Amino acid sequence: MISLASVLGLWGPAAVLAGGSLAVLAIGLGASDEHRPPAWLMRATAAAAVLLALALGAVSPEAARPPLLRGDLLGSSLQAVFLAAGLPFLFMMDPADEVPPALALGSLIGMAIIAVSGSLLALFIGLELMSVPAYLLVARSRSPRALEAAVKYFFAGGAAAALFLMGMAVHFSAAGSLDLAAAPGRVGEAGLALMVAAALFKLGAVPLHFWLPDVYEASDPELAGFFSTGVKAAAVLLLARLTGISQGPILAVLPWAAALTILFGAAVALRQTRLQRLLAYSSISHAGFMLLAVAAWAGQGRPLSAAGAVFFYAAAYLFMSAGAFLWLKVTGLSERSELKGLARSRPADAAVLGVLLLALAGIPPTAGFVAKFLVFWEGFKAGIYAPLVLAGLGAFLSLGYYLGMVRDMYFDEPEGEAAAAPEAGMTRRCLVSAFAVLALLLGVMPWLVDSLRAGGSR
Amino acid sequence: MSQDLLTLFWVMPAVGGLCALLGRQARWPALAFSAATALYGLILLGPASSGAWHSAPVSSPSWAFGIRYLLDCDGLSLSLCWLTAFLTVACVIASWNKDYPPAYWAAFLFLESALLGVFLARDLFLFFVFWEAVLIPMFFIIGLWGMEGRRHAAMKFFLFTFFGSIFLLLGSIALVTRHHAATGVWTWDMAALKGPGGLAGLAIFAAMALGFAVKIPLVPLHTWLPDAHTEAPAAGSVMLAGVLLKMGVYGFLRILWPVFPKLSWELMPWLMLLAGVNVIYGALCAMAQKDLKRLIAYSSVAHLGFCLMGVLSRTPEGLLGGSLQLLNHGITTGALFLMVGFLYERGHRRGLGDYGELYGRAPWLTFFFGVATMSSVGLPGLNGFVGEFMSLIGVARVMPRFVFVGVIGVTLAAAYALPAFQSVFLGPAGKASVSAKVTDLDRRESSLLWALCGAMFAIGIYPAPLLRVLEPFLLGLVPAR
Repeated sequence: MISLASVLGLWGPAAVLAGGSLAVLAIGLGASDEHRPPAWLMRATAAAAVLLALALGAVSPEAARPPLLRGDLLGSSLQAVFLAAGLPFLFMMDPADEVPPALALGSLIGMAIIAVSGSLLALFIGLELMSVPAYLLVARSRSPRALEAAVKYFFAGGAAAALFLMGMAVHFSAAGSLDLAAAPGRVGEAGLALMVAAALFKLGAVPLHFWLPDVYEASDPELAGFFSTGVKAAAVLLLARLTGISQGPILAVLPWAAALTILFGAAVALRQTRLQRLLAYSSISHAGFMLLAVAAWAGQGRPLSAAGAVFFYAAAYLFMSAGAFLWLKVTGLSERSELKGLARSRPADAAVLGVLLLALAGIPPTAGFVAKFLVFWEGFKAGIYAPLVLAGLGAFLSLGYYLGMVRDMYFDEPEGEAAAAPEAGMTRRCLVSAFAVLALLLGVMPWLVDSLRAGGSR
Repeated sequence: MSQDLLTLFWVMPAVGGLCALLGRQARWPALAFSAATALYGLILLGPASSGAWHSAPVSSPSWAFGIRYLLDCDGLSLSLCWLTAFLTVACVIASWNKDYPPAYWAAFLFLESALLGVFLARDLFLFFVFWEAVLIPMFFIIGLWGMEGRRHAAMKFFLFTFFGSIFLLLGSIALVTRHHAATGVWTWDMAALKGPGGLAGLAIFAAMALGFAVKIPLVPLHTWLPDAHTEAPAAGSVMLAGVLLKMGVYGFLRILWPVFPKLSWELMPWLMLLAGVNVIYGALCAMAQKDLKRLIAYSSVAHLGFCLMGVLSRTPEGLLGGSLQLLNHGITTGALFLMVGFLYERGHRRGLGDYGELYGRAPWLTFFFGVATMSSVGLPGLNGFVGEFMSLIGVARVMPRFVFVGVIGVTLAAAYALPAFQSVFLGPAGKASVSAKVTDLDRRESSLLWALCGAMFAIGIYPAPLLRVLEPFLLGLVPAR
């Protein structure tokens, strides 16, 4: 007997998003060339669909419809994160036509399917549905190198998909089914390794990160912000689902992959001069922390209480990273050297970015600190000491650029003429400031996050 | 209820900081709130000394993992809070007629708030949050209103401390999880936690000690200190040397000794060696300095080594003397940095050779600087002597050989402090001297220094009341022998 609530909880978000996507397309197609529909209408339709999906996702987090779908609290929590990540993107984009909002919703459909998938097949469908619109969104960015980056993203994503499919096949040969259940023997473990590699590809973990900086740099800032928060949260969820299949050697590798990712991302970001590329590398480092949270959770035998670290990190990172990327969009700055003396010429902008940077660096009392603390905490309970120390050193390294940017803004004289602030709307500026406030508020009152998700896990 | 009284203590300056930021005349709220906080601290003496809180801190519900909002105030905390509160008032008065923006005054009040939190917190997590919160206002104080090299010094200050803090955090988490594994209780209460033995205990101790050692700072982790102290504005140097350095020794006293009673005793000779290196190395470096501010900064390295030696001995004399010396160093070095600031405002130089024959032009400045120098050297009758003497008695009772290190340190202190005083105030003025620009202290400045020098004399002549305030917690740290 399947209740209405469970049907709504499982199918609802994806269905609503799909309906929204079609509605946006219909608005665009119905209009003639002379009378384009207003951008706000498409945006509002898309945002309404996302909000409705958010509400439906919270209806019945723990429901199952075997063999394909199975919802749980971690899935619905992370679903809240990536759906919420879609909202600022829809709000900030400048749609020339109906296609970008429709594509964004399409990508969210894929993520929503990952959130409720109970089999490898559903995971794969979700992965592809999420990725294909993302390639197109990159290609439609304004940067002159957008097409090149899109192709690069497409091939990297294609490789990840191929890895995943191969892994599925190998897994099937060992287990005889596509359920999210352990496959016996070395063959099953090999299949899992291929699928985990695909998830790490999507997450941008070292050494499978090489496509990421180019893609993030060539995308519009708001799109890069969506990738770094929404797509990453979905990839984290994908990985979390996969760890359920195995208790084997893969789990032992994950903490080290995380430590390597954290250190590498931070070390390379130190040398970047372009802001968007710097944030891209810093997002690699943060992905390492999320990976570490997943590893700590899996290492403890996947208790729900330890999943809090995964969720909080993804939620905190949503505010910090999306806030930073949107800040780039609002202020129109692109070079790190342009930050010099910003506190004098544009004090409000500098203060907002300053808070976001301190949060990204993980300095109390900000959300970034609580997030990192939770990762360390669960990591200690899982007993992965050495990777944790490396992660701590990575956090120290990252201070070099986060704090360095604060120093540039506040302690340096402006170089040459101060660039005039672009005419960004007041509401957009308020949104970015709201992200900074939230990044601060969640550090002071971390329990607020609990009210964001469907239920408390502690 | 009593927790609320303590909450008010650390929240008051933060509210003042916000008022200063929002208002137009920022120095007035800064003065009002810092003075109110200092007076409020004095009122707290009654309940604190009667042990009203120490016996039964009110427990608040846990946020998660046993983390609680836990404040307590005993003599050690209270006296360090006094130091913080009164030095903040001194800093506000000292920068009074400078044309600083509101953020400057707010930064000092936020700094005070975080520092009070550090000394009041009894929950390890809460302690860490305050510990880190101290960094942010200080970073801006150095970086925005410092001297020429401020940019670099501010970064160095933050990075060094943050490096230590990461290990402090990791060590704390390990301590709490280990404690849970042993007892089944999740708690971050400093008084309840007990460290594990064996290699795990050693690793946790080392990680946390590293966090504190950066702050003290122990050689070779001290290189941030001379830069930060020299490049900070005068009032910033006062807070840095006067209060921030004390956080490290306080961490040893408050956390490491009670949590690792046995291990810290076993490691005592090694830590004593590190402290001894501090005393000698800091003094030798101070002798080589040509910059007055840098010289005082290095002398702080030596003095903090002295404090640590006394505290390490874990005898009543050593613990009390070392802690008293923390306060003494705050008062004395605070006064010295203030006076260097006044001198710099007049002459715009800090070099030892840039001045001379100031005693005729600025007799009061000469007098106060002389008193503070003598206090720093440890002249009997002034506060420095009491602290150093008691520390040395403590050291003599456990490791007599290290008394020689202390005595050499005291001698070297005279060897760097007196020539500096002589060349700036008494000696002949060189060709490039800017002494002609120096005028004597005005009424605001001299009343400030009267207060500080009065404290030096008071503690030097009759330290008993202050020692009685310090006693309750510290005597509990003496191991049973």
